[in-house]
Order: sequence, then C-alpha cells, then structure tokens
Amino acid sequence: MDHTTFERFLDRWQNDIYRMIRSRVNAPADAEDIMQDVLLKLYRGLDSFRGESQLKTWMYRLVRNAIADYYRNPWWKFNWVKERSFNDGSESRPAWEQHVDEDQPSALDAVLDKEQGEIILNLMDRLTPAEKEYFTLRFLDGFSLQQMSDATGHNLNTIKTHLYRAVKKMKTYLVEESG
Amino acid sequence: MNNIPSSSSCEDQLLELLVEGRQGSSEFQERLASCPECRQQERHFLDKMDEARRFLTPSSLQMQRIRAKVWEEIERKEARRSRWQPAWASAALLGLFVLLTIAAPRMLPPLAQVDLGGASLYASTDSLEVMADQLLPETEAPEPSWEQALSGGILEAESMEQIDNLLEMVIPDRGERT
Repeated sequence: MDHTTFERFLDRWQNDIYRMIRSRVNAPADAEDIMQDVLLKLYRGLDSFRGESQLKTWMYRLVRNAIADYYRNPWWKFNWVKERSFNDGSESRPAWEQHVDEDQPSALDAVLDKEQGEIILNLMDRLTPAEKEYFTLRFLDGFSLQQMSDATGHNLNTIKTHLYRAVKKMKTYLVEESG
Repeated sequence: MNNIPSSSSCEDQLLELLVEGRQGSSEFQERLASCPECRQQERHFLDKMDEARRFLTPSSLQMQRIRAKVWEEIERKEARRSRWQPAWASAALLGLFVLLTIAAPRMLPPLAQVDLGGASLYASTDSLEVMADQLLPETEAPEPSWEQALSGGILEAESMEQIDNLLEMVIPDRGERT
C-alpha cells in the first residue's frame, strides 16, 4: 500500500479506531500501543482487504484480537489495578504544545466533556461484560445491529436481549447519577 | 445532568427506539412522532453517548504522535526487509547449492538401479563379478589351439621324447639355440 492511500485511510478512520480501543482499555498509554499495533496490521492487511466483510467489521476484529493479546500479556494487570486515568497523555507534553492544539474545544468544554465522559464510562463498567461490549458497539462505535452480528458472530436475538438490558440499566444509572 | 422525564409509558418505546434505531415500523414511527417525551429522552440519552464519544476521541497531537510512531515503525521494517533481502537471497542460493551437491545424490537411486539398457551391469565391480559368474560358463571362449596342444600334450605325454617333440613343435627353433 502506498503511503498517501494509507494517510487518507487514517484521516478517515483513526478516531473511530482509537475510540474502539480506548473504550475497552483503561490505560491511555496502553491504548496508544495497541493503536500502533492495529495500524501496522491495517497497513499490511488493507491491500488484501477485498470488501468480503465490511471494513468496520474487519477493523473491529483486528482491534478485538489486539486487545485480547494485550490482556494476555501479564503486564496489563499492573495497569489494570492503577486508578482509572482518562488523561490523553497531555500532561507529559510541554505547555506550548498543548496550546497549539487548535482543533480542541475550549479548556472549560474539554474539562466538562472529560467529566461527563468519564462518568458515563464508569457507569458502563457496572454492566456485565457482554452488555458492555454490545452497548459500546452500538452507541460508541456506531455499529448497526447487523454489523454487530457480523462482527461478533452472534445472532441478532442474543444481541438484542443483551442490548435491551444494557440500555435499561444505563438509563437507570443516568437517572441515579443526575438525581 | 439534566432532569430526565421518567414516564413509564415511554419506557418501552424508548428502549425499542434506542436498540432498534429509527428503522422501526411506520406504526412505531407514528407513535414516536406523537410522543415528545420519548423524543426528549432519546435525545438526552444520545447526547450522553456523544459526550462519551468526544471524551474518547484522541487529540490531534496525540494522533500525530501515534502516526509518527507508526510511520517510523513501517519505515524501519521496510528498511530492515530491504537490508536483509540480499542476505536471504544468498542464503537461499547457498542452501540450494548444498542441497544439490550433498543431499541430492543421496536422495537419488544408485546408478546401478537405473535402467540404462544394460549399461548398469557395468556400473560396479560387484555387478561385474556377478556377471562373470553368471555369464562366463555359457560364453567361455575356447582355449587357443597351442594351449590345448601344450596342456593336452603334457598331460598325455608318455616319455621325454614325446615331450621334446611337442616342444619342438611349439618352439621350432628350440633345438638350434641349444
């Protein structure tokens, strides 16, 4: 694959891929490592991708495998027990570098978003693993029910059952949180 | 957080709406259109999901950093591959040479077993001896006449005179020299 094509691919998909990883991995630094691994695999594999499965479904499988490898690595436990830290790595960057990040929302918006996002993700941690996975696929990754079925290999009824439970729980959690 | 309307009448519709999406039946769409509370709850829920998505979206600097590392890794791997390519090619050639010169002769059947239209019989000393054992009795060449005469004569000679005559016959000038 030539570099320009891959650059275009990254422009289109990098945020989706990163979200896919980051919503399933707690430590941002590990998410970055996994992201690099996934992007390298995509670079090697995109040429052979013939659209036999949808691109999003294929990327999800790559991400899932990369995360599974990550969890198989004994080092993940050290990261797991660390307090959940949702920083984006900006703390380690010099101040001038943070200020030139022009396409980011204002500092206040960013903080508010960060708080809200963190709350929602913490609420999602209260779901069962299956519920959380389907909920993430549907509402954070933006998969349709059919894409979820293709990606996970599970039938639609199973997915819907988990998803109904997950949405119901999350609604309750959000009400509790706002109350 | 906003106050969420919690009417139980909207509960099922909202769940269906969130899980199935907006591709429901026309009946469902009509019900949804007539229920502002459902739409409000749907909007509220989806807004929360958008907040989570924004939170998970990497900053542009973060992505620049990741992309730089990925390109660095790609270039490193490509450079390593191009550096090792001649070495691998040489190793492959060497391996092929070793295979052809050492291993291949052992793997091929011995020449004696190859049917070369009778030529195999002459391939080794062993087979030559076997051939001699098998074939000589049948195709033994007759002894030269002088040899037959000599051997027959000696064995059958009755006296020294007969032997002398015989030798005279074989070596005519024997007498002249002595």
